[in-house]
This record gives sequence, structure tokens and C-alpha cells, in this order.
Amino acid sequence: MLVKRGIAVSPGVNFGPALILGTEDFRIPRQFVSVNAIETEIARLRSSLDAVCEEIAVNERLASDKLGVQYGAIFAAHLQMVSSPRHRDEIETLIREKCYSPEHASCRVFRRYTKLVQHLGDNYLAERASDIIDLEKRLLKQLLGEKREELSNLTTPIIVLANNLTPSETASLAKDFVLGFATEVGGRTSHTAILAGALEIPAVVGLGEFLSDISGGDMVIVDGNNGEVIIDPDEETLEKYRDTGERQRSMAARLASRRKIRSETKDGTRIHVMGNIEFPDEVEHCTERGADGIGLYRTEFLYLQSDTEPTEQVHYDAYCRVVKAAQNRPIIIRTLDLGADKIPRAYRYLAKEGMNPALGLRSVRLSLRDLPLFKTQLRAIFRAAVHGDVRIMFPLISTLLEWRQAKMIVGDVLEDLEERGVDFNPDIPIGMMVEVPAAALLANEFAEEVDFFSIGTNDLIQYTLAVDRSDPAVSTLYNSSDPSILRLIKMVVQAADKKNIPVTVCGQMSADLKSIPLLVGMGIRQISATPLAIPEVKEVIRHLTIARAEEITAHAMTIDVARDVDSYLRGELYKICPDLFDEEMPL
Amino acid sequence: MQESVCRQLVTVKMKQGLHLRPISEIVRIARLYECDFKITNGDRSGDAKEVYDLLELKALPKTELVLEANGDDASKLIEEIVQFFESGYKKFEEVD
Repeated sequence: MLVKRGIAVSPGVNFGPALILGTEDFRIPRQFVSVNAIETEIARLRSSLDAVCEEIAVNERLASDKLGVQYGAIFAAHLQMVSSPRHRDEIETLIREKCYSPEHASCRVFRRYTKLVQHLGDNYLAERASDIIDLEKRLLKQLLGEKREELSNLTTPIIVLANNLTPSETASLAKDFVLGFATEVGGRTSHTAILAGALEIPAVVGLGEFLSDISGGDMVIVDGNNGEVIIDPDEETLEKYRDTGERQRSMAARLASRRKIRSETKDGTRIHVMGNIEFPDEVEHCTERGADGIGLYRTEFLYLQSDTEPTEQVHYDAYCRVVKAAQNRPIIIRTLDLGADKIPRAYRYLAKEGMNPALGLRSVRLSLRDLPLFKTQLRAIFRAAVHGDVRIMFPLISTLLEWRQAKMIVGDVLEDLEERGVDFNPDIPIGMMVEVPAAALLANEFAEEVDFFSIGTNDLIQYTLAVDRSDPAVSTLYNSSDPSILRLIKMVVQAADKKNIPVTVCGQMSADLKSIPLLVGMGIRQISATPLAIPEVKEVIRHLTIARAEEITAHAMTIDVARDVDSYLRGELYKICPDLFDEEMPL
Repeated sequence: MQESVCRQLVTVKMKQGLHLRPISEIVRIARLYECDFKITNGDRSGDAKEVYDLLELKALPKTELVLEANGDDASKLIEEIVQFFESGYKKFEEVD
């Protein structure tokens, strides 16, 4: 049994056989072969290798004849790699000495070479790694023949393990059979996190290197509550997790039955609980849990789905679907918030290699630089706003000048739409995300100009405490209860109150139940959380009075270290709604 | 049987360095010969009959490489490889 710790990004617990994505495009059915079968298996390997060589040779001839010798040479190199005696020997040694199946042995050898090439440091050469992966796939295809199980056609549930999920990899997955995700890299806003959240299956990311310790088919537990992945668990551990899963399902059912009850405090103050979404389909996940609207509609997926820029129509169609599904509830659309790490091919030229992406050209900064891209999105939003209560917010605003620039572009877009004579709604609220300390510090000035604030706690914490939450070495510093964070939030709420404009809190903090009394006590009346957390957030609110929440906040603000704030809030939450926790449930 | 070691210095002139296509040609030529053939780039050294080894040399444009062949047909191999580094590689460059 091996326990790996990472970052929990999507709650819940599940277990099942592992599927290693990327290197395995289909499942490898078995890891070992019996000692007696070794010679037969080696013969099978050799004939598969020969078949692959033949395949490549055909491609080489075709490429050389049709395209020229310089193209054929790539296939020639592939052929040389596969036919190299050293390469063959390495695979055969693994079969002979470790009784690995040819599939498993080939996987290991290819994977080692892939790693070598990836780490060459030169971009052009490192890209050759994909050639090697391709060779591995060819060979596996040969070896497995008809036995292979395509990812798009899985018949048994699996836990997906990967270095990092890419959109194209996940696109082909038969999602009904995915029980959980675990990845080596990635943070709370990685593609895996977003996807798992949307599919509502448990996920843990940022586990560090672990794929070499595991083989396809091994039993794996993904604990999305505690951020743990357990490889090859013992029976006792497995039993414990079976119970936990059971308890979670019954709790969810209980909360679901109360979804229609209004979200207000015991003393009758309305607190709007909204949902964070990524895909239009998720609106339903929110409404069926009794959400009061969509507090954060992330639009990045529109850009990540393909390598080409989404057209105005693509934007418009997506927004209209959300508007329709939300049935007149408010929707806050956040404009492009891509970090340099997620920039699709089309914009990569704008991101300088080797710079610090978190502090670089991302988010609204990218939008302000690439005006056609920005305007396309804005036009679609104003057009979709004809059909419902749509609002816009700009992410990562750091200075007043940026805000004013963005507003000016809005003005241009409205003029364009006017000229085009299409239907659009020019009078919609336009706000900003507060996720840079600079913006929080100038909240009074911003409050003069914006229609609303939305506090993005994830980035606010990262930038305030100067900590990358996806880096396990420093991630313990990342804490939403840090006194510095509480003070910044308080500043924003006070500034908003003075101008009587609304403030929403989105980000992980708003799904963290112990923070709910604190936020309400600070004066927050709108909370936007991941859909899965909505029932519990509402439950906490219904157990709360404003007076009690204010007391909790007042006391929390006097504590000077995050850890103590945390334990104080946890204790208070337990007092407020003990029935949310049964004895074994982790707080 | 006479043992002969043959050494020669060459410069990488390929626009993208010693990448997959020229590597493939070097390996093709090398495998036609009996002798051992090693290429060295600073502290990295590899068997020139193996694609992976040559990729690992990380030979960028303008790098100086040491060719070292050991065996009966060593001098003939080196001659052919030197010619490739001089001009033969051009056939394998991008057409653009």
C-alpha cells in the first residue's frame, strides 16, 4: 500500500482499477506473465516489433516518394529506434527477468526514453517525445490486437491517472466509466480540477511523480476530501472507504431534499448562494441544488476546446445556452482568464518562454493586448444579454487604468453592435474581480467606477502570500484564513458598502464551510461556490444568525495566525451545525 | 586484422541542430559499417548507431562534435560522415 498526498480539487471518494492516460491509449490488461510463458511472449513481442517496423517502412516509402527524402527521414528514424537491437534487448530483459508482459515491458522502456527526450531542455528536440509516444502506441496496438479496450469505449469503471490531463485526452474518455482523477502536476485551477468539478467526480492533483510506481489495473483509491491517493490499498483501508462513500451518498440525498428552501439566515437575512460553472451543462447542476444564479461562469473552455479562436457565434451559442438554462436567474460571465500555462496554440506567441506565468501576460492583460479576441467575446455577451440577466466581470484587474481601458473597449463594442444593427442589451452591470492585492487596497477608488465586486480568493491568496498553491513544497502557506486575506476581504466589503454595490465571493473559500459564518459576518451577502457545495453552504447559512456571524468575524479578526483562525472557525462551525458532521467525517 | 581508431572534428551546420532527420541519416550510414562509432559533444557521448543516443547529444547549431570510429572500416565511415556534415545534410533540411 502506498499513500500519496496531493491537492484535493473535487470532493468525494471512489476506488477502482487504475488507467494510466497518455501513455496508455487503451487499457493494458495484465502486467505479468507466467514463467513458462516467457518464450512465447518474447516471440509475440518480436513479431509485433516486426509488424511495427513493416508499418513504418511503408510510411517511410510513401513519405519519401510523395513528399521527399527529408520527410521520409523522420520515419526512417522511427524505424531505427524500433529496430535497434539495444531497444529490443531492453524490453526482452524486462520480460525475462521480471516476468513483465510484453505490453508492460514495452511501456516501461518507451516511457523511459520519452522522459529522457522530454528532459533534453531544447524545445525542438523535446517535441520528439511525442514521436516516441506514438511508437509506443503503435507497438501496443500490435501487441494487444483485438484485445485492447479503447478509451472511448470502456466497459468497466476506472480511475484515470495522468501526468496532466489535456483537453484532447479527456475528450475521448467515456466519462460514465470514470470514477476519479489523479494527476502528478496541476493545481486547483488546472484542467483536471475543472473537469472533475464539472463531472462531479473526486480528484486529487499535484501528487508529484507517482506514475512510475503504478501499473494499469492496480487498485487505487482517490480521496478528494483529504487530497490522498492510495495505491494498492489493504483490505482494512478499502473497507473504511466503502463506508465513507456510503455516508456521503446518504448525506447528499438528505441535503438534496431541502434544496428548495430559500437560502436565508435564521433571522431572515437573504444570502444568495450561486454556482461556479465552466460548461453550459453545469447550470443544471446548480439549479437542481437550489442555486440563486451563476456567480462565476468561466469561459476558458471555449478557448481550449480547439486550436483556433472561437468565433462570436461559438461564444454566443454557449452564453445563450447558459442563459436559457438559468431561467432568469443572474449569470456573471467572466471574460477570458487564461494563464500563460493554459494559453492555446493560437496565442502562445504572446507568452514569453521562461518568464513567470502567474505574473505575466494573462487574463485581462491578454484581452487588453489582443483586442480582436476581447471584442469578439464582449460582443457575444452583450448580444446574449438580450435573453436574460447577464453581467460581465473582468478578471485580474490590477490598476484603475486597466479597468478604464477595459470599459473603453466595452464602449467601442457597443458602438460596433449599434452599427451592425443586431439585437443587444447595452445596460448590463459590469464589475471586476478582486484577486490582486493592489485592487483590494484601492477598493475605495474602484468602487466609484464598478457596478460590483467579485472576490476571487484563489488568486488573491496566491498573490498576497506569494505562494503557488500547486507547489507541494510551499502549499501549506496557502490558506484562506490567513489574517492578511481576511483584512483584504474586509477592505473590499467596506468599500462596496460605502457605495452600496454588491460583493460576491467566489473561489475555493466559498465552498469551505467553516468560512461561511466568517464571510457572512463580514457583510458578504452573495456567495458563489462549486455546484456540489451549494446544498451544504445553504445548510450552514440556515443555521446562522447575523449577530452570531458578526461575533465570529470580530473574534476571528483578532487572531494573528492562519492556523489558529482555522481551528477557531472549525470549532464554531461544529457548534453551529453539528448535524452536518457525524463523528468520523473529517471537518 | 588491423585495429584502427579514427578521430575527426565536425561542426553542426544544420539550421535546427542535430535533429531527427540528420540523425536518421547518420544512423543509417553508421549501421552499414562494422566498426564502433561514437559521437561526443562536450561531456555527452553516444553510440552513433542509436537514435536515442544522438538525440541526447543535444547538438545545437554551431556545436563542435568529435567523431570517433574504431574498427577496420573506421576511416571510410568517418570520411562519409564528414561529407554528410559538410554538405550532405542539406538534402534533409526543411524545404521552406
